[in-house]
Amino acid sequence: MATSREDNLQNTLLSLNARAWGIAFGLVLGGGLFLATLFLVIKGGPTPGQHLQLLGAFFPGYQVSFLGSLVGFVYGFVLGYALGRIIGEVYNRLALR
Amino acid sequence: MSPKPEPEPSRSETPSADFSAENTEERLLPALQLAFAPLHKAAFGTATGVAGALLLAGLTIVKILSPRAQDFPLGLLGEYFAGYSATWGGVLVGAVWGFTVAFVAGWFVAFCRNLALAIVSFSYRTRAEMTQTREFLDHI
Repeated sequence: MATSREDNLQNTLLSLNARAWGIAFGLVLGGGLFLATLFLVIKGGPTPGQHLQLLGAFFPGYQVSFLGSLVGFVYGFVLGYALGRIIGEVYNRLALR
Repeated sequence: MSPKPEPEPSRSETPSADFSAENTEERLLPALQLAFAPLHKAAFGTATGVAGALLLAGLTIVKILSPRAQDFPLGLLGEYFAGYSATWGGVLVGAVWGFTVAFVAGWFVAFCRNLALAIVSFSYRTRAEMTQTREFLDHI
């Protein structure tokens, strides 16, 4: 009896909450871009974030400034949410068939 | 008119059977399954692979179509991903590379997560067995 219960525990696969994964990924990506931008803004210098501002090519409106860090957070959250949601949905479809 | 107080349930009416070891196990099993359930490594790898492929293919398509993105040096990824370039052919190559790299990363993340969970589970079980053994020895 105990063995079958243990087997049951071992063989049960975790199902992912796709929405929670989306929010988690979104917060990580959005928060990461927000902090990276803010760090460069605070650090200052003659050309702050000359490489990071290239992201403006993909994220219209994004720039290395305080306002840009907020815009970057929104873009990062949206992209991260989409990726996390895809991972959660695909995983559940494959693993819990 | 004051409301009638609810009669207290007598001790004999309380469902004492619910606290038996059998029922406790049955109630705890779903929670334990949730807490210690492993990730399916191949499925998680495939899921992250699909996300990686879509991301790299999407970035390449935006780079090709958007005039704003022409200056973005996405082609530098070709240094790591053989055959990749910011062209329509590169979309397919990028998708394959994105899937491969993200699959390996996802598989490894799932492996590490399952390994960590197994170690934690083993330590809990060992600690519980040690506690039981100690009590047994106390009674000798």
